[in-house]
Amino acid sequence: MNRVIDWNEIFQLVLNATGETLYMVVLAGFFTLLIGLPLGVLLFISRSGGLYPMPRLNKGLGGLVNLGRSLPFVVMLIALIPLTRLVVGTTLGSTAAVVPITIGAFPFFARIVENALDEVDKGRIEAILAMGGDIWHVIFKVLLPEALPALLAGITLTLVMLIGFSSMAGVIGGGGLGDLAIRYGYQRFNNQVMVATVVVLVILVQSVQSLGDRLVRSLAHRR
Amino acid sequence: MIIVEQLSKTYAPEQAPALDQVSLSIPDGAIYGILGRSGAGKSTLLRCLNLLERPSSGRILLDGKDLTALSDIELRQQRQRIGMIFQGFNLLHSRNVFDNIAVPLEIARVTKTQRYSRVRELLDLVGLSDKAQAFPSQLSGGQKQRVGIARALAARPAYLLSDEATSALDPETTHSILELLRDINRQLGLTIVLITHELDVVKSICDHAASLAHGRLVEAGPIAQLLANPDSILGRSLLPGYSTPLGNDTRTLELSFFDNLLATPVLNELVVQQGVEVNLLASGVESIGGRRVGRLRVAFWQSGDELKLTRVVAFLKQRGVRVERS
Repeated sequence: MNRVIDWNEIFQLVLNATGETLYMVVLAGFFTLLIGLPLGVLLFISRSGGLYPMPRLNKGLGGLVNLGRSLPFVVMLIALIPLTRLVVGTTLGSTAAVVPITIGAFPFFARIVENALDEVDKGRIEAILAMGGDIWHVIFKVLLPEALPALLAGITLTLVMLIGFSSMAGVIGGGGLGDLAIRYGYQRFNNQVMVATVVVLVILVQSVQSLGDRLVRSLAHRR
Repeated sequence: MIIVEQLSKTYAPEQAPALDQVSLSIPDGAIYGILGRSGAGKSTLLRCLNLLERPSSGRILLDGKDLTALSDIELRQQRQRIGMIFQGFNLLHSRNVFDNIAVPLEIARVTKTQRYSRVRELLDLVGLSDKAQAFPSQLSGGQKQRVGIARALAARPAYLLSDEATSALDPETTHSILELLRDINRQLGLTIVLITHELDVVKSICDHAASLAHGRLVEAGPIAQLLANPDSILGRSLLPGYSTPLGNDTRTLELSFFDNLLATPVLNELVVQQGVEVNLLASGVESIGGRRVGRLRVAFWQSGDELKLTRVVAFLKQRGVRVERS
């Protein structure tokens, strides 16, 4: 059936779906940062020859991170259903989708953090150690502030990826723009909804990207 | 006082050691220059002095405390007494000049008001009071090194290690940074250990020098002694020099006069008493390690007779002149 729906209805649908997408992206983004940032720091400092070498831990964490990154997201979405139930008590809906989205994204972000920290000039780390600083001083006075532009660029990249992940959340009833596009645009051949979804997604991604770029530029400007 | 005992550092067992049984003592208040080509091990030696590099064997005694035997916390406390400046400056680009200088004070948990007045003081000392809010990328090389020096001095260390601090700077800036280091040494009584591959740096500010080659200590001591010792290669390299070598012209000697001897008519006495004729080929006077040194290249003749150069040499040596022959 190809029922004609009016623009008001489309507006409501797209608005709801945008809300769901933002909800998933913001929440999953928050947890991705929360887990990925310390994990990235840990990966960096625990390298052999690093600031606080723990080769075994480093290898183990590195392996887990690679495992997390090697699974296609749709597969992970399904495979993680038992874990999702354990964490949020349900396997359906936007909140349930946050769990697999976070787990799909934080290993990626952790690697970005690790690489960003690796770009920090080793001499600056040495200078802090030479003046009697400990590893916490190195992390909070050198590594994170000096890598901040690269970290912000990485956060932007990760947020855009999260928007992509969230569009697959429909598989487990997570809703969002991707779900709307599949249900209305693809399964019901409703081109109006399809176009509206695409427009909103493009605007969303562009805004995140240009906001991130602007932040990075404003920081790089005075450095 | 820093005493280095039998220090060795090996990076990989199949490689030659970067440092091989180096022993040194660095007296308080000295400006101690360590010379060597790149790869001679001087950077490794300097970085062992604050244990940025852990030696494979040997000890480093800082005012009697063996750094290699300290716990992490004790080591960090000792490091606060040793400032360090670098060839690449190593300033934090996320902080402005003021906040860069404040880093060691933050680490030492100095209160904010005390930090403020101390940083102001240091900005004044290095002549950058108007640049407090500037970021490192907005500064010239010389200004960056001044910030580096101010930062190194912030926690009032007793020692300052300088890792090729002027090697990335142009000659004029190098000169002004060296002046600053000398002023600091005099005003604050700070002991400075610097490594460099430039003889001029050692000549202009050091009072002690050591030379390293292939990880081994070749010579070390007060510059005055090195200069006076005719067998010292380091002493010789510090003297005012000429680009052309002496060759095997047996009539020609190179003579070095120190301090008061410069005002004594030694050559005139030689001519009158020994009856030799002299021709001055080249000469120069410099101030090295706080001593005035004149160096001459002189050719000799003896009218009629055959030249008895050994007698000439003996006469000059007896008068305190440092003599080199081809």
